[in-house]
Amino acid sequence: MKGSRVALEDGTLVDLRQILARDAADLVRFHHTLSTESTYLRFFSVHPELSAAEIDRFTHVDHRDREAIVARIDGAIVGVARFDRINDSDRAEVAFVVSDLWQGHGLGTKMFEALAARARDVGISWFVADTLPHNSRMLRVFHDAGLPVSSQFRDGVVHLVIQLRVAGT
Amino acid sequence: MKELVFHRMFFPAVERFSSKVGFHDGVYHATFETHADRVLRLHDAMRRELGLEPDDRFGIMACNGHEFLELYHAGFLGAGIANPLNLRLAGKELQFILADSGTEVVFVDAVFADHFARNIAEVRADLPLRHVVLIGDGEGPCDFRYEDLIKNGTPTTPREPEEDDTAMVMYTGGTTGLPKGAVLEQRAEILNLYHIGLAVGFREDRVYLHQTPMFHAASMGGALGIPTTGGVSTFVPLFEPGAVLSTIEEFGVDWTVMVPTMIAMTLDDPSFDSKRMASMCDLVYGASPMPAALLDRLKKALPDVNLWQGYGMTECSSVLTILSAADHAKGGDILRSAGRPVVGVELTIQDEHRALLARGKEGEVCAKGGNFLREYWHRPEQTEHVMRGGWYHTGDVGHIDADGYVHLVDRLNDMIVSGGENVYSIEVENAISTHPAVAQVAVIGIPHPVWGEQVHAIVVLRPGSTATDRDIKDHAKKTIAAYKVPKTIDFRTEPLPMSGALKPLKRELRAPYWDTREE
Repeated sequence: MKGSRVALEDGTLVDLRQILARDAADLVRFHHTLSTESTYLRFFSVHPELSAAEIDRFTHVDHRDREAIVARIDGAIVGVARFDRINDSDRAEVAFVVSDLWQGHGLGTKMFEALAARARDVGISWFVADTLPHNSRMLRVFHDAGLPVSSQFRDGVVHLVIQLRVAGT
Repeated sequence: MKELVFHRMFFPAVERFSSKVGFHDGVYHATFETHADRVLRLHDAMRRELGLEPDDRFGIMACNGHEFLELYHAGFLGAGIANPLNLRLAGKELQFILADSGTEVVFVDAVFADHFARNIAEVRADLPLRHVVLIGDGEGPCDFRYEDLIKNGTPTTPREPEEDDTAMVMYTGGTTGLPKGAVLEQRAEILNLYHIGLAVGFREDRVYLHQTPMFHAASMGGALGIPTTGGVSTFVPLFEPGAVLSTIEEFGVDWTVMVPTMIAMTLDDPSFDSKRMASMCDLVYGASPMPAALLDRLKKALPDVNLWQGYGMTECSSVLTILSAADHAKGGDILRSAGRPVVGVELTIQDEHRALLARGKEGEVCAKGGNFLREYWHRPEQTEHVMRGGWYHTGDVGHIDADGYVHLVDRLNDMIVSGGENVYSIEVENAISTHPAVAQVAVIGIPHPVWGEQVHAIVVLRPGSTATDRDIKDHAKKTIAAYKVPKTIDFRTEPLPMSGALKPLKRELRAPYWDTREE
C-alpha cells in the first residue's frame, strides 16, 4: 500500500501509511502524549510506558498476518490502527488508538477504511474487536462503517465481529 | 403543583407524633418534638453561624447516629446540600471529593475527627473548607462544636424548597478511576421513598434499625421515610453483629437493611439466636449478589421474616428493582433474579447501539424514572454519557424474563463487589502501577465466602526489581481506600496473558478462580 493523504471532516489533512521499523521513536513520543484514559481504553490497563518488546512488536509487521497503519498530521503520529490474524484463519483482531486531541474528528473511521482495505487484500473476511463498553467513540467507528456487525457483552467487554466481505461487493 | 419536597413530609409528621419517642441512639432518646427542635436549631445555626447558603455543600463523616439523621433533615430543609462521606476513603480520595464538590463545612464525630484532620492536613489551605464541626462530646480538632450550634440556634420554619432543588451530592466510584458526585434533587429522593413505601410499607408502628453506613444510598429510605411517617429510628454506630442483635431485641426492631456480608456475619455470630430477632418483620438486602446458600440459610433461620431484595445504585437514589417478599415465598428461578422494576421506573435491556432488546435477550440494563440523578457534579460529559438517549445506563448486563423479572448476569464495567462496596479494577490498577518495581498489573475479583468477592491483584515485577506483598499494599494504600487494596497478590514472572493486539485476557486470569466453583 502506498501512503495516502485523506481529509477529515474539518478539512485537516492526514497522512496514512503502513508502519515501519523507523517509526519506533515517533510511536513512543505519541504514546507519551496519550491520557491515562486513552491508554486504558486501548490496553485495558494503566499503561504509561511501552516496553521494548511492545515497541518491537508494534513496529515490525509482516503486512500479511499483521498490519498496522499510522496516521500523521503535520508529521506527528496522531493514531495507529492494526490487525493481527487469528490462528491462520480469515479472522483478525483489530485495535485502534487515537490521540486525545483528535478523538471525535473522524480519524478512527479513516483508519478503519484503510485497514479494512489492507485486510481484504490479504484474505481476511472478518474483524473481531474487544472494546470497553464506555468507549463509545470506538464503538461508533465500528458501527458506522456500514458493514454487518454483531456484538455481545462478555467478561466486562463488548466483543464485536465485523464482516468485511459482503455479498455483492 | 409542588409536592415532592421533604417539608411536606417532615412537618406534618412532627405535628402528628410530637410527643411520641421516636429516636433511640445509645443513651439518647428523643420525641419527635425534640428531634424537630434540634433540626430547626441546627438549620438556623448552619445558616447564621456557619454561613451556609442552601446551595452550599456540607460534608458528614460520622458513625451512624441521631446527629447524622439531624444533619440529613436540616440539609433537606434547605440548610445546604449534604455530601455524606464514605468513612473508609483514603486521604487522596477524601481531598479530591472535598475539592471537587467545593464542600465548605464538614461535620465529623470524635471517632473520625483525628483521621479527618490528618488526611486533609497537607492540602487544607487549598481546600474550600472553612469550618470543621465536631459532633458529640468527645475531643478532636474542630472550629465549632455541634451541640453549641444547636444550643445557639433559633428554631424557625425554613422556606420551602422547590422540587428540583439539589438535596444531596453523593460521591460514587468511577470507571475512570476518580469518584464523581451524583446530584440528587428533592423530587428524586422523595420519589425513591414512595417507591420503597409502595413495596415494603412505611407505617407509624415501624421500628427501623440503621446498621448499613448512613453515608450510603441504601440508608436514605430509612433516614427520610421512617421519621416522616411516625416510625421509630434506632442506630448501631458501626456494624457489629452483637450490637445489631441487642438493638433489635431491646427496641423491637421490625425493619432493617443489610448487605449479604452483614447477614452472613450475623448468622455466624456466636450470640445469634433467631428468637432474638422475633420482632423482625421485613429484612431488605442488596448492594451485592446474594449467594444461594446464604439465602437458604437465612430463610431457614428466620422463616417468619419477609425478605426483600433491592437492586439499585446511588444514581437512582437507591432502588430500581425489588424482589418482593411474595417472590421469595414463591421461590424457584426468580430467587436468582433482582426482581421487577419499582412502580414508575421504566427498565429496558439495550445493546451498545441503544437498540431496545426483546425479552430474554442479554444487553445492558437501562432505566428511567423520576428518582434518577440530575447530573454528575460538574461532569457534563460523564452525565451525557451515562444518560445517553435519555436512559440511565447501569453498566450491568442482564435480561428480562417472560414474567418481567430482571436477571443480572455480568457487569459491563470491570468492577468487583466486595462486602457491598463497588471497587473498579482501574482504580486499584492505577494505584499499584505507580510502584517503581511493577511492570504489569491486573486486578480481578475472586470468590470469597463472606465478602462475596475479594480484590485480587496479579503483578509482574520489572526484571531485576523486587517488592513484597506488603510493599505493594502499603503503596496502594496511599491513594485508595483500604477496602480497595488487594487482599491477595499473586506475583508472576511470566507476562500476563494477552491477545494479539496486546489486550489483557482477564477472562483467562479469572477462570482458574471461578470455574471450579459450584454455582
